[in-house]
Amino acid sequence: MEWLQQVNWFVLAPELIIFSFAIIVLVGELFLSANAKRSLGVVTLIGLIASLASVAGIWNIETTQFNGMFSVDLTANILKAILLVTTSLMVLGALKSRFSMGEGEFFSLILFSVLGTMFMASSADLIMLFIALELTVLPAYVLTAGRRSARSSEAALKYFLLGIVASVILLYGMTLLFGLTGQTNFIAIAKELAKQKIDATLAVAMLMIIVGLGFKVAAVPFHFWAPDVYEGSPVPVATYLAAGPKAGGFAAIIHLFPVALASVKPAWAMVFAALAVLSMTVGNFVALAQNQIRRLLGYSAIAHTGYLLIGLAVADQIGYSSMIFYFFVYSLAALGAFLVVLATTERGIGESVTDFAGLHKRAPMVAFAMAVFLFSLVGLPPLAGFMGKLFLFSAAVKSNLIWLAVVAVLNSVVSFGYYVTVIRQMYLAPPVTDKAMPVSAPLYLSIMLIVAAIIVLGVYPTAFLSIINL
Amino acid sequence: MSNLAPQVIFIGLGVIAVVSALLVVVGRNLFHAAMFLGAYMLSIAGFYFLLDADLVGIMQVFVYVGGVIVMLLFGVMLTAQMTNVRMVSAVKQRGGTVLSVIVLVALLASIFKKTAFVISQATPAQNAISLVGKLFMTDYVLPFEVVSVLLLAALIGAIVVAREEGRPQ
Repeated sequence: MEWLQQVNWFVLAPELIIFSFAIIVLVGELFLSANAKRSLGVVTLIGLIASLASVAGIWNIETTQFNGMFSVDLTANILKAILLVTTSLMVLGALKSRFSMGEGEFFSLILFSVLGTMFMASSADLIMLFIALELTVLPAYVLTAGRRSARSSEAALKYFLLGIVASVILLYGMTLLFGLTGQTNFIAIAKELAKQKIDATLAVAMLMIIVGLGFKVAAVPFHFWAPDVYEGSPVPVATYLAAGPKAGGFAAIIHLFPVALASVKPAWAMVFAALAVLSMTVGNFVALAQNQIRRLLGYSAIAHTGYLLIGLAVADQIGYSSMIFYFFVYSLAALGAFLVVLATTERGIGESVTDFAGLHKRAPMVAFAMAVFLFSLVGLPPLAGFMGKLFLFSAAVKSNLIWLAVVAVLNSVVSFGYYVTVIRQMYLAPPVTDKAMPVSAPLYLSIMLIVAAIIVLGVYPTAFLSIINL
Repeated sequence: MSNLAPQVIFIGLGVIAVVSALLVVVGRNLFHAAMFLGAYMLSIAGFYFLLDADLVGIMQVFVYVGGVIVMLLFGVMLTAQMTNVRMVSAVKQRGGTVLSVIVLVALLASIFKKTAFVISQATPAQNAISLVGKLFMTDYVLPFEVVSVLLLAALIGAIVVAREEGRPQ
């Protein structure tokens, strides 16, 4: 057992903490009284924050452990930190929510999914990547089915079946890659591929992997599950899905493609550029026609996947860094918007866009927060979304992808069209009732924290950029 | 003789696999389809044995034939209305399906014909099971442990979903 002593367990601390808390919360569900179970959300929150602190503790460590299975570097740590921050805010916002399953089950499934995403961010091996990916999405399928309604079941079934198909295609691509190189480690694959000349099989393997991961990040044309899932799942789950699992998908892409498939970089950069254009355009134009708020946010998420893929089309360090920054900014705004939807659905409204009519009279601060989130998603200064888009699009311009930047800017203009309908409803339409809409304290706190973060990141982005070394 | 026997077995298994897989798809009777799926899974296990991958072959039989197929048959037979369901697939899907299957098969066939896949020169391990066990506990310990977490999550998920109807809320 001497090899066990060679492992640097410290770098595994964030994952171990999340795993322990998942078990604690699960056991709590078994033994606690119905009243005490209410506190399991707080326990989950403590676990997420403890894990975040341990990520900070290993921030600059760069190492590979477990026979090349698990690698820690700055990119992985940043994505884990983003994931933990957004999930903490989600859990904070959902503390007073009612769940259709036991609190312990709900929070432990969330933690298992977070654990999978963290392993995905750190995997340096095809086997590890696949298992981590399954651990990310499997709890998400169950959580989607949580609302006892036909729509929830339909969303879960669609998500599950399409997810399985995507996994199978991904696995097929991985086996072809293994057949070509005889290796599963990313770096070893790159070494083998550098010796060979590029042939059609490699292209097919690459495309299959892109299709598989494209499903996970909901890029067009692999996006069909996303609007249904965002609409059908319980609101706290949709809030989690809007940010969490996507971090894993992008982490996997950032680690797999530039390392293992470096020899065919122009090819996959081109494919990602095409997917970016498709996702932006389809997402934004279909969103224009939506009148259900969660479907609208679902298509907006697809469009934002498109913006994010620009970073991969650029395919250099500036591109990846801008992408990570934009991912943080986007997930904060999307998270905030979903939390506002959560606040309204808890008062029995908030399914359709017209439900937001006159919200600024009933809950002025919440309406203001929603406006901030939506303007940030559009990319208006001085909000964080503007800085994010600025970095991302200028990265595209720097690497001679001016056409891509132009398409992205035009798309942002289009997206203004549907975000502004929500804002117009909130501020200009007359309210159905003048009764104030109360919001529970933790949810209010979570929403306001996100507003503060978006404004700070928009005015002073250097604070974050110096951390991610952009 | 020594070269001919594996060839004959391979072709035999291949014919069984392809025919039974086709019958799963085109068959109209759900029960028959499940049985043919079992035959297909068994022939795949045969391939693994032919490749000296005993452990994978045994697992294929255990998990797929012993587990999945039996569960599928239970599902078919316990659901009263499903036993003799004759499935009617939409005609409008047929053309597209046939086309995409042909394209996929042609693509994969050309790939497998052209590509020089890496072939291990090592002699097949004699005691594969103990070797795999050792690897699980050394080189592959992290994926092995994460898989067990995955199974735990799946177990909880299955309970949460299955309990759905019994608990009024």
